[in-house]
Amino acid sequence: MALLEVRGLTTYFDTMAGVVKAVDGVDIRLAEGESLGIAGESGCGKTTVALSILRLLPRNGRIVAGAVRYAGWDLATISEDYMRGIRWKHISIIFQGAMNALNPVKRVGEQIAEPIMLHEGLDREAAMKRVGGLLELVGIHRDRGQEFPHEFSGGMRQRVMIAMALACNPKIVIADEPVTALDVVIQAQILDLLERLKRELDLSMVLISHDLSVMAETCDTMAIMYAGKLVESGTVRDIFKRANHPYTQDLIQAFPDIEGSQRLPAYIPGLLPSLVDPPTGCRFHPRCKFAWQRCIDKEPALLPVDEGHWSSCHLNTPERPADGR
Amino acid sequence: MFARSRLGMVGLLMLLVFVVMALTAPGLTSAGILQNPNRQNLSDRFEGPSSDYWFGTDQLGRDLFSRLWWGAQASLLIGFAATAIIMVLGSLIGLVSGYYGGWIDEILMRVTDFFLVVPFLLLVLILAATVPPPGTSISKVVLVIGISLWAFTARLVRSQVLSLKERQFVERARSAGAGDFRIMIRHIFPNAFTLVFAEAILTVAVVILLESFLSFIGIAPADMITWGKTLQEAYVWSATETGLLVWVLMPGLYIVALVLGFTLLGFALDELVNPRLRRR
Repeated sequence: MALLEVRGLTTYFDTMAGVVKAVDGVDIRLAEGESLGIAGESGCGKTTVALSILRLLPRNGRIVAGAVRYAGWDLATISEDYMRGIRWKHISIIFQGAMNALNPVKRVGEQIAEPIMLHEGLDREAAMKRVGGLLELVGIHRDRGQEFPHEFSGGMRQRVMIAMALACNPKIVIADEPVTALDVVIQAQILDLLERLKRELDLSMVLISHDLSVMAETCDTMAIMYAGKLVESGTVRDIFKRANHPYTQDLIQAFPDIEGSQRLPAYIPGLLPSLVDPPTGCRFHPRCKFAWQRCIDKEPALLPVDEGHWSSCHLNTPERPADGR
Repeated sequence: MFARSRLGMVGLLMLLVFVVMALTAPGLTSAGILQNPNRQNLSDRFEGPSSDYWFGTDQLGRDLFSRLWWGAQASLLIGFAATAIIMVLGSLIGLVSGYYGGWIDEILMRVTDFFLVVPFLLLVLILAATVPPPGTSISKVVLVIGISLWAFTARLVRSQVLSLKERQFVERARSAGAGDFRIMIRHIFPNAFTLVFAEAILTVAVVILLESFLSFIGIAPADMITWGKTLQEAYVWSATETGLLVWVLMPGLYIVALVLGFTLLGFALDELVNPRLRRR
């Protein structure tokens, strides 16, 4: 039974250049106690999915269609009041770039206490008491809650953000690029911490990253996005060992392999298409080395290729012409 | 860092002198060290400086040295009170305007524009004539100056808020359940506060200059001694032509010194908190 289930999520942004179809019919399932990774290039809609789940879209963004099922509710349609009750207490988020997500002129402890005070109606003193415990949980001495963000290093700030996300004992934590701005050693520390917390606190996690190695290390299942569409989803083993979609294959090729032969990582030619006016058919076709006429004419459906392994590619449908065109 | 700004320290010292004057005026007068500034002595009218009257006397034989000493009270009181109004009003309108944007911003900024483009003097005169009750009290002077000067601060705060509200910690605070009011007051304003504070010090200087000017043209609190009033009396009684230069010179110097003090301090603070002016 899925704890969180996103069905056909479609999120658009109204901009001067037109309507940006940032997320277009994405399905995601997160089972209890599981880690789900959402991967894809910058600008493919990963963060928009996260913000849509929590309904934290900027003013010009709107959920056009789809459902976000959680504990019997549809988070896409419940009132803002209910949503406020869900945020932080049930689903919380670790924001992209901890460097900027802390208010530079407020003490770190106070900032962690804020969601506790706002969501659980505790007074300042009671909230601050819990802050000490939270800081220790993420490996920071409790007295450092008295300090300001500039007195912390990048990794420490990320720990603070994690402590803040855990402040109201959520069931699901969405981590949006939690290690992107950090060096590799600190990255490993933070990922270890996330994994430990997930185990100890019985969390389910959605990890958003463009770094596949991070995913391989921490996630159970993965969803690969391209230009606002879900192109492939399955277990980590499915994705890395039996990648079906050409985009997933290219993405994996683009990472250096330390065990295999010495070679330069491949890259995917071309750029992410405009989401105001996306390509017809399969959105990946202009960059796909296997593209044929049907990929331009018709959008491929997300179909199962194996138990729990889904992919949306015309190559999987049998009537492919023999000459490859 | 502040101590390194020598001009700022000079400004601070000048201010301290005037603050001491304002605070000690009643005490020194009752102790008899300072003459009663309101005691008229018609046999000693229009006297030049002497050991009895250091700065001479005015048309009613009142001691000018003592009157100027007392005048620090009015200048500082009006300076701080009007600045407080300007900062509160300007910050509030700037915050709301910048934070909400859209038509709220449009309306508030058009009102702000009105206060910016109407000639200053005209605005003050109209306000002084229309704000009830008739007659001029100190609270009325404070109010009139406050209403006519808030627009600059509103613009400054708005521009800060426009950039601050896009910062990620605001998004984080909102997701943590903070409402608009809380975000504005607890998250955005503290980030803009240092700049507002520096602006406030510079505004005090402007207010004091304006207060003296208003006093000079007759809009002065009836129950207080002000430097502007003394200047005006010197002008009416042709002090320059009768050789009583001190009568004109001293109130002018006091005003300039106090304004300069605030300006030096304000510039020093501004340099500290305003990233565009900060020296590397």
